[in-house]
Amino acid sequence: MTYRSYRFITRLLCLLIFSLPINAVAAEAPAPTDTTNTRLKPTRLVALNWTLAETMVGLGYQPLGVGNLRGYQQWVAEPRMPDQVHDLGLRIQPNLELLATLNPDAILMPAFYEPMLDRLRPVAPFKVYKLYSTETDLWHRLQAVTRDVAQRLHDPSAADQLIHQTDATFKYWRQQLAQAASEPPPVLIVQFMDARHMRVFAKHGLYQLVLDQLGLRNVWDIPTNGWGFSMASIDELAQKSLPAETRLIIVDPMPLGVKERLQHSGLWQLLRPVQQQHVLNIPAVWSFGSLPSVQRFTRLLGAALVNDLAATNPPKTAARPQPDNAISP
Amino acid sequence: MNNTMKRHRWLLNGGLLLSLIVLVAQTLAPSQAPLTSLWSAQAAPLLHYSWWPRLFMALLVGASLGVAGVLMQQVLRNPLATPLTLGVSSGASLALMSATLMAPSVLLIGREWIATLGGFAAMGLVLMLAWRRQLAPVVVVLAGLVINLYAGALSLVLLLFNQEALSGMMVWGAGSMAQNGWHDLNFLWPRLLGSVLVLLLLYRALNLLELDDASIKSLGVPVRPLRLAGLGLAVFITACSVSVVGVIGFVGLAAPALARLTGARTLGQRLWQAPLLGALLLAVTDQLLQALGHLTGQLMATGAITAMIGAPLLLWLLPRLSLPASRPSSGDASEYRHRHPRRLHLLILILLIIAMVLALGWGQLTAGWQWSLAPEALTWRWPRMLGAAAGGILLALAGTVIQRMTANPMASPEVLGISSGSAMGLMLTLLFWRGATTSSLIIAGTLGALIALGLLVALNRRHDFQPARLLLTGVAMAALFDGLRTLVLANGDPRGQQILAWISGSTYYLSPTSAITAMMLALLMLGITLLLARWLDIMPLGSATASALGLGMTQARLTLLLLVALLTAVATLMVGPLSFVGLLAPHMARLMGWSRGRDHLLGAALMGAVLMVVADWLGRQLLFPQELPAGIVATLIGGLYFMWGLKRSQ
Repeated sequence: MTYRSYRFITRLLCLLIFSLPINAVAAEAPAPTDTTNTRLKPTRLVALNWTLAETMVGLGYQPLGVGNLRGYQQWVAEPRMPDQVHDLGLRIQPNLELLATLNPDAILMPAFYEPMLDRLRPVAPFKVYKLYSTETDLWHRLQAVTRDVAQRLHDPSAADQLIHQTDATFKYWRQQLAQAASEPPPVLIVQFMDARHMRVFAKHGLYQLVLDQLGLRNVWDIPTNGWGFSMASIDELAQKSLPAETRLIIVDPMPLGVKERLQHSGLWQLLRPVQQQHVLNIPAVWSFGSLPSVQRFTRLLGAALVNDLAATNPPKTAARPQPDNAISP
Repeated sequence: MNNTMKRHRWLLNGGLLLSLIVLVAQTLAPSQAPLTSLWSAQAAPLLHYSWWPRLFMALLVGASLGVAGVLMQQVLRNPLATPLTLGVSSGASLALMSATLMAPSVLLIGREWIATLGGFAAMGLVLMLAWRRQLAPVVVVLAGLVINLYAGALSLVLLLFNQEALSGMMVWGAGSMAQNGWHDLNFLWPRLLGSVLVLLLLYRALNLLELDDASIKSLGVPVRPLRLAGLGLAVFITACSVSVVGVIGFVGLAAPALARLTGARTLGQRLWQAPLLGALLLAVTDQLLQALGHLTGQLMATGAITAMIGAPLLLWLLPRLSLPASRPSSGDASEYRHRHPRRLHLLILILLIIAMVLALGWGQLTAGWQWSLAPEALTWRWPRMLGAAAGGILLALAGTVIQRMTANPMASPEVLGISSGSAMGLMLTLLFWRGATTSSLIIAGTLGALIALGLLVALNRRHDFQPARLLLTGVAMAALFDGLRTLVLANGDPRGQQILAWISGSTYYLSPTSAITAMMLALLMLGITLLLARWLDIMPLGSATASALGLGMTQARLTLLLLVALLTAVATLMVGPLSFVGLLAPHMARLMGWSRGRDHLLGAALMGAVLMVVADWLGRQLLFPQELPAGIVATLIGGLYFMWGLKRSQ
């Protein structure tokens, strides 16, 4: 190879490597809000996916390593993962050499990662969890997973505490909602993919779990996948006859530019909740999470709904001020 | 005869128009749609804002892709040329992805413009690479293929690391026709109208492109600017449509092919029949999907489904297409011949050994870069290194055989669709079998490859395994796989990540035993292929010469085809279906001066091994602890070399 050709190739290669936005951060990344978990107890367990990692943090323990740590901070956000936790690389292909050097006591992983079991076997004992599926009730499954993880941390009482805390959150917001309205409004929970498509969340999903616990009705009755959502375009929403009081919940992140495009969309403007100004935005929550995400979504949804109900039909005793979508703590 | 032809054509054209009318009439039916809903939102807002724009969008996009396809096939004189051949959609998609991740505010200027820019950039690269060769058709298609694979690999890297952030992009990639207003349509039609005007201006000159270059020049028409204008127009039309509704690839190939089949001979005939057929194809598919979509709760993206429906259609068409029987081995990158091929082999072998030792010893861990040959580190490294080398050898052999056999520089195991078949087997297993293990995946992959091979043989046997036909079969198979993959990814299943990891060609899942087995298989295959090397020297000379030399063409082709299928299937299981190495290694070997069959095979195998070993090592180390799949890294490194080689050769 001549010198020139060599130079050409190295230049292109350099250009390429530096232009790869591998760890670029999307602008709408939810800001971490929870800083209470600073005193996590260290463990020698690793969690390959975020749901299990979140469970461990929720139980008060700091995993040894997590798959795609940066992604966790961006998409799960709360509870915050300490930066000392080792990043294991891609969730689906954790770095085996690194895993072997860390020498964990056990590896926690979800069932759909199973093809790599053969490679993990020499590294450490592992535990496979069935998390999201269409088979059994999600709430019971998440409780069982939480208890099992706590067992492995030799701290079963932590699970009782986390579950109890979650139940208490449900109870609190159920009461708040009951005070705000005699009959809670039906809801529709969506997350925009682009200006034409969205995920609509229902059966088998985390958001539905919260709706069930809060006694709220979901108007979306179209089959969902094992992760609790179906893909829909705006016209499919428009075909549904939504009750007038339906609250349309938009879960962030909203892709940039979509809001502006919706202003131009004749069909969007015709949607009942849009006409009635019953659209509520709530910050991003990891849609496939575990109990901490369940609690977070309950708080955010409950606060958004209670505020909105108070604004639209003010109670007779003390009229509240103008609509305010800000979430009170 | 002229009369019967004419009547025949009239019948077909009449039939086309009739079906168009029936379509429009039928689509009016759904809810006693009053025609007034077309211009007024009062009566039926859903029809006005969603159904009508969607119908017009499907017709418009289908027609424009048909026109773009005809234009490209005319300019490149290649029945395989499609609007996607020049990398337009992969360029557009890469540009949109990068913008989404790095500077989302840029998207506010307009997604359409970013997509158009990316499409043009990709085409610019293709043309730059083919510029010195007078934009010769074969070279343009080859350059387009490389850019396509390159952009595709970069997109895969971005997807692997940012699945959540790019979920919207995956929906776009699947090509959905859903509309919620007239906004997009109002964007599209003025641009297409402008394109049609330019096309009318160019029409007479474009007709000349059916002659060979020398004759056109003797008529005083500048060939290069003419080709450039034709391609530029086709890309602009494609980029506009694609940026609005997403990737809809197959129509651009199927519509012109169908037009040819219905008897459209001249450019004029094809230019009005192909868009009509394209519009029909897309609109009918979309109408059917609209009816189905609501039932499943899944996104039945029209682009992806069209590709999947179009694939069997193309397979059905294949025996009916009249294609150029054989193509002379022209336009190959280089005819340079090395004086001492054996010495060069030795040199590359030494290089391979050095690469292997480095890949074993040198690596990153928590403490940074370390040189270590300690057994704890080696147990993780050697199976992957060995497997990568085996995969490289197998793919290089498959590529060399298929390229020499078909005398077509575009040919590679991937183009034949065998890797696609194998990958489909893997994907379906991952999706529908919870708890699939490595061994079940291997079985599924082999089954997929065998089914693809069976189809390949069944469809091509009667036609003597003609190169152009073989390639089209592969294109159809690849389209089927692509449709399935984009559909799964667009629906946002978190398991999509796992599918990405498999199809991007990682050595991650290799165990020590499977790596050793792979290497032994690779060496065995190398021996078998070398025994058949004489055939590869004779076959490019054409069937007449071959039979004069006592070689039964059909039998030899069948044997070699089986061999290629086997090589590809094993390699796909090892390093994924992204077999750019299969295209690349034989070419690199050619560029380095190995020209005789035996030398070429051995040289390509060595190059393939070096390429994969280096790629696997770089992939594991570059972004530690994140791992880039070896297949992708090989594409990125090899693609650069390939571009350079293409640019250098004159």
